[in-house]
Amino acid sequence: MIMSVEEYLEKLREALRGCDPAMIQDALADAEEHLRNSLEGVVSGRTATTEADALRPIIEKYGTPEEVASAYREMEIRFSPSVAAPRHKLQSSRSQFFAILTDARAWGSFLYLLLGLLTGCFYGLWTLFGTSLSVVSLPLIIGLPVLGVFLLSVRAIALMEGRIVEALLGVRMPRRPLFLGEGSSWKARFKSLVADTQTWKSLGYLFLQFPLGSIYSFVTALLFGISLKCALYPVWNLVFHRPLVNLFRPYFPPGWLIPLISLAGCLFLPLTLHVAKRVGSFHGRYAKTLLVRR
Amino acid sequence: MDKQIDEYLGRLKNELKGCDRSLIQDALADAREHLSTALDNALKKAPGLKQQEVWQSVVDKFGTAGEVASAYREAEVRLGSPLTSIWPSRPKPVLSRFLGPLADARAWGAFIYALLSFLTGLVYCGWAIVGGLFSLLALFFIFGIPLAGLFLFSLKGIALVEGRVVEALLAVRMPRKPLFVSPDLKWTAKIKALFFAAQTWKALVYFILQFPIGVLYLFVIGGLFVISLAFIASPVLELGFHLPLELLGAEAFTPAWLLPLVCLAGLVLLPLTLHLAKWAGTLHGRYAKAMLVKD
Repeated sequence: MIMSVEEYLEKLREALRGCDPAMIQDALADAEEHLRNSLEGVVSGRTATTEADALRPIIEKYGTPEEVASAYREMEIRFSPSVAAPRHKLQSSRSQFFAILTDARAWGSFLYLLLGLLTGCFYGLWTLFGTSLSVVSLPLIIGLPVLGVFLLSVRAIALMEGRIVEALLGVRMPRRPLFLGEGSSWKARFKSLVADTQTWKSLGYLFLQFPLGSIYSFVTALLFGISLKCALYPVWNLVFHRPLVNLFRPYFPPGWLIPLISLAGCLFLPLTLHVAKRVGSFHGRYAKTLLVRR
Repeated sequence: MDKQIDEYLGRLKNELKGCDRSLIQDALADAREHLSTALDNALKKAPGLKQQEVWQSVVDKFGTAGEVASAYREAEVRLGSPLTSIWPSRPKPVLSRFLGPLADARAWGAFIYALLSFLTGLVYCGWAIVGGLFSLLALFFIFGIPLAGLFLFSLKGIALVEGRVVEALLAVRMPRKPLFVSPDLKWTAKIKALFFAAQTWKALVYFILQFPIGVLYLFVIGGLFVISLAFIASPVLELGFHLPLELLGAEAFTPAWLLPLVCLAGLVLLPLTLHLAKWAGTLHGRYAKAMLVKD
């Protein structure tokens, strides 16, 4: 017999032990939202029932924690993020080096790192602006509402960043917003928002994305640019008569070196993608620790 | 063998009638890949068996078309559209509906999409035009056909990536897997299939249009966002740092009585911008689906 929503959620968490934390967070948010909303409907209809009595028919309809857990587990097998699909072919190490060119996950990481400058600038701008606006307005009467709306926006942006991470880096991230006492009073919701470490972790993540994303973008673009320029240097040199580098004075490599430079560029491109994939998987893990509830 | 698979896929498609088009495309691609590899493996393992028996055992394991379709339908309901809650929301007061987009991941997603589509649009459009012209030119040479094939193939890959970005940011269900192409097909046949697929050309048009659309999004939505932030911060900027709003020339300071109103206007404009972004995102999601998902 389950006495309260908290107990149900605890049992569900227990039943989902060992699963991906992002999936557990989604399952718990779904269940909590459904149970609390239906419970509120029942309790406001008839006054003289205890929570346990009211919960029984709701749980019967929604499923026991074990049933719900197995449904989520089953779904997860079929619908893991697509780019994360394992490569089942065994290949020689040489073809593995070049196979990265057809690896959707490597290109996804590459795109994520390139976009880092743009998203990072936006996150940095918004967190700086929002924090300073909240600080400035705190002494005024609108202070708390401004802070509340800003923190809600941080949670929403963090959820959305999670979707980008899942789409491009192939790491399972939460799909749905955390439940935030829809029916309860403004004050209670504000309190749970501020008291939740998840909110502050998200804020920290978004703020750090500013420097981190810029570094990602610059390094990736630099590596990619170098490999493209080297690979296409024969055309660049023979057709357009441009130097290889123009740091202090233009440098033209000797003719015998040109094919070698082109070859080096062709080898550098897969290497860049390998680096992008490695960095992408590191960033995916980092995003998971900061944006998913433990 | 191929006939049986096609029949099975036809039945599965029938069972999934009314579902989302991206879901149908994924389910069919999954089923085709699974069935054809399973059949190949089974035939290799036991070459003596009759084809009919092998087919039966493979289908028994995978499930009938009806079973597979109901599994997909069920999972789709539970997974729901990302970024929003799967339960219907209750009616809300006007103020929280107006401020809603600030706390709505979908609105922020659409906003980010509007900013990013300038950059991604530039890449897509550049690749589509340069690659397209290059392969047209190359068609005069002997290596032209493989090169053009490679280009068409790359469009398919980019369409998949753009679909993932659209699903992540606009919360529109898009294909999660590439369309399955039998590995036994010869490369000439693969190129031919790509060339005659309307999908390929629709994706090409989408990519070329993405650049002008992205520029429009960036200027309208990004511009409104920056203006509203500047309005909100204008009292602090003008009184604290002596920085005027440079909308009306460099030295145009706002009169002091107007400053609170400018700040208020910014506070109203910010949610409005996000409403606009969300609306444009919904439209764009439908457009992307029409252009990038197989009918």
